[in-house]
Amino acid sequence: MSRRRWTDWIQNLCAGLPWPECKRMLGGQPPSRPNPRQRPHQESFWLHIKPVYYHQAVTRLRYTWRLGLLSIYFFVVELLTGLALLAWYTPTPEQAYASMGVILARAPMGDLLHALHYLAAVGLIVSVLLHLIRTFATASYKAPRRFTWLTGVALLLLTLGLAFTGYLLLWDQLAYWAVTIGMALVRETPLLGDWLFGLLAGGNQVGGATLLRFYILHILLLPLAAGILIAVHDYKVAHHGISLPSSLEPVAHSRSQTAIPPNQRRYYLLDVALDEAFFLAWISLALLILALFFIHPRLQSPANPAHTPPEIAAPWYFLWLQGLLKLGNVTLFGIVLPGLLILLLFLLPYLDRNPSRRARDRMLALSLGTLTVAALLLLSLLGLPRFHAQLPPAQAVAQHFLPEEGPGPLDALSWQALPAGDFCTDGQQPDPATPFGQVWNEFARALAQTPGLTHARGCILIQPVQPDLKQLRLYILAEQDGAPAALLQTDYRFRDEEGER
Amino acid sequence: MSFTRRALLGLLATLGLLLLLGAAIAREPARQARAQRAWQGAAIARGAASFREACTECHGVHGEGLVGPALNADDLLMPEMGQALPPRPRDRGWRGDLPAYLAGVIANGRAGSKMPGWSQRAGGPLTEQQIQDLVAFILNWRDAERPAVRRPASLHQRSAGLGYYLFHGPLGCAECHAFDDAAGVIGPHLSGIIARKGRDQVRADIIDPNAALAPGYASHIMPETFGYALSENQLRSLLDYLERPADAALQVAPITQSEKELALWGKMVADSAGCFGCHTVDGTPSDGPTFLGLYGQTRTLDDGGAVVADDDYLHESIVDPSAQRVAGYPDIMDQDYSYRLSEEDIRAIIAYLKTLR
Repeated sequence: MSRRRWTDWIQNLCAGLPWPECKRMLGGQPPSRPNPRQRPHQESFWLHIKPVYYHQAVTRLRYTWRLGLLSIYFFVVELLTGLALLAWYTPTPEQAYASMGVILARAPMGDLLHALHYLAAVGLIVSVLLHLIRTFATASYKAPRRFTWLTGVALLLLTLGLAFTGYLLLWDQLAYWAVTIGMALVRETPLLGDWLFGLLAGGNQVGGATLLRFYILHILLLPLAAGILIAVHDYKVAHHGISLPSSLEPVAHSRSQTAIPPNQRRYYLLDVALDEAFFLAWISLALLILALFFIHPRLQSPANPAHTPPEIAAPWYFLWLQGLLKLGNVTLFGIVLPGLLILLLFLLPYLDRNPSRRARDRMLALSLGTLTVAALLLLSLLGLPRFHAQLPPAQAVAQHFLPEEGPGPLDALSWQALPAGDFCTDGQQPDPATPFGQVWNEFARALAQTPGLTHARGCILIQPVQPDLKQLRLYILAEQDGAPAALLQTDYRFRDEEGER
Repeated sequence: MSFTRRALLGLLATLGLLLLLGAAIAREPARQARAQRAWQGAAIARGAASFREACTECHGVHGEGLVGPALNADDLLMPEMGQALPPRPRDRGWRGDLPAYLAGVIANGRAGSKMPGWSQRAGGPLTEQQIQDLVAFILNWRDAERPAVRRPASLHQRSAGLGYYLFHGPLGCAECHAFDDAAGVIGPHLSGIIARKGRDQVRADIIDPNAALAPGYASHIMPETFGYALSENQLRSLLDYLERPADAALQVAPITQSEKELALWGKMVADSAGCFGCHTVDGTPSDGPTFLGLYGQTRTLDDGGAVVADDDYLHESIVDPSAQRVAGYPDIMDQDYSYRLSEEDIRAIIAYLKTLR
């Protein structure tokens, strides 16, 4: 047995390329003859799906923005963090929310895993959407890359499906009611509605069976389908080559590798691969910084089928659908129109017969595309809670200052900044210089200035009820549109760490 | 960009990644402790809201006990020296831990008491998670200071004193109403209320607060459960308390546990509950057996059996008169005393019966 030298180790690290060849490669020199740079791609399972070299025009960041790579990266992050989270998660209505507590508070690095899973999901949706827009803008969907586009649109739908099914698993009020609304929409599907609803929900309403089915979809079926489709999609991209900028490829054509002139080639190994690895290292760093210091997805209170929250917001990627629903008939605007949109997206390469990829020849397609994006943005805006049916004024004020879910102005105050006492607009007032006094002033101003409220009297009552627990009550008595209205809302605040210092 | 520069930049990112991860791992124990406290705190806060909605009616707003037993109590929450469990669950034969005991009673109720099962499996409204939150809330009383229950010192002040206790304690009237030393700001001021409206009207207002609203107040703010939660006796005490002149000093002192005091109290309860309509205390036969000499006697039942009239039997005969009926008397006694009397009332009546020998 021959003694292994350090260059052998380098050769292993360079996917089988001999060290002298690696040096030539990194120095930007042409391959030696016979070209050894093909071998790793022929012998390695993982590398054979990658082209040996790219046209240098498509390796520039500013052309593809590496959105396909990013999507795969986020998908892999989802797989890894998701697999880790599985160890603590139990998909039953009794245990789901409690197991979220285990993940967030007891599992090692559990909150980081959860934050990463959430962030990478957002990243995945964003990168897949931008990837689609980029591909459309550069007309990369035209024959012979039509099928690649088709698998891409299917992957977009799978991504949204993964997001939607993952949403329910938190089993908090937001998840439960957003999915309940989504499932009500499914039921409106013509002909198949009830059957589809039954298939997905496993009962008459969102419940334990739904949770289990969404769980199976989220952790098994959808990722499996996405994994297979990603392989097909990636293979097709490698097979036809990434489309060049339209100045170099005005009419799309499949490119066999030899068609790239030697002086335009950039080898995948080790050049592009390292570039991509370093790029992803920076993305990972950004993701980690965001997850550690900035983004802490908060859970609402546990799902309660008996109590509908006053405000239900769709996740941002479905806001356009919520906006669309405000326009009228549920079946038309909630099912038929989105269905048509998806169908059009699938068929786009087959409908658009224009062979040219140049922007100046594609004015119609580009304007229609811009219009669609603008319409979706506008619909998303319309889908924002501020355009929902409004709560009655007194309730709106109460909901703002003592929201049922999520942080309100009083939650921004420390535990100690909440003085015990009964504070009323016509009675005892807090010291306006204190943080609580400022919130109080906002409250008094809201009562005086909210249209529709007259002769409003409001109180905020704070009282300690248990060790480390304060009760906050908010009372409003007013004439609302001519009729007397009153409400008393109660919330509790536990002393948090900040309060102890 | 040259390869070296690219590699350096890439390695820099990798280094940053590793450093950050290391720092995160180092502060993980502190992070977990904080997260656990926050999670537990959120559960307690949710439990407090559920408690207010579902439990205060019978257990009092601070868990003092009303129709149901006290929950903010040492015998439920604090194990004695050398014991794993507090006395109450132990006496009931429980062998698990305290949270499981509380969750079990909330979920399934207690057979033979008015406590229903609250879990959805038992036909109640609460989810499993809500029950766990309630348990967290109740257990948070463990660290609370429990002031000695304050009750009136002498009999002629007892009734108004009990009213004071109810008003400021389990009923939570003081949270919204101003009266005496209470300064609530939500409901109407109550001084002189009886003089203005009369006892009957105030009594009706307590039971059905929405029927006749004071001007300037809105409906459905005051709980509508007091008619259920209060025994006739307690209601009377509350009215007595509201009726007393503002300048009359109310002597409130820790309750005396003496049997004599309890018996005196029991006589009042028996009177207000209407026991003497059917039961005499001088040995004369009536619709029901006489109370004289009843306690400790061996009674022949209508099914031929015999039973000693001890505490348990008398308690049962009050809350479920048909269960073991003495031979020779018709089955006509009201079945609803378990709703009209508190546990404390029943204990007082039994103490009273013991004195009639």
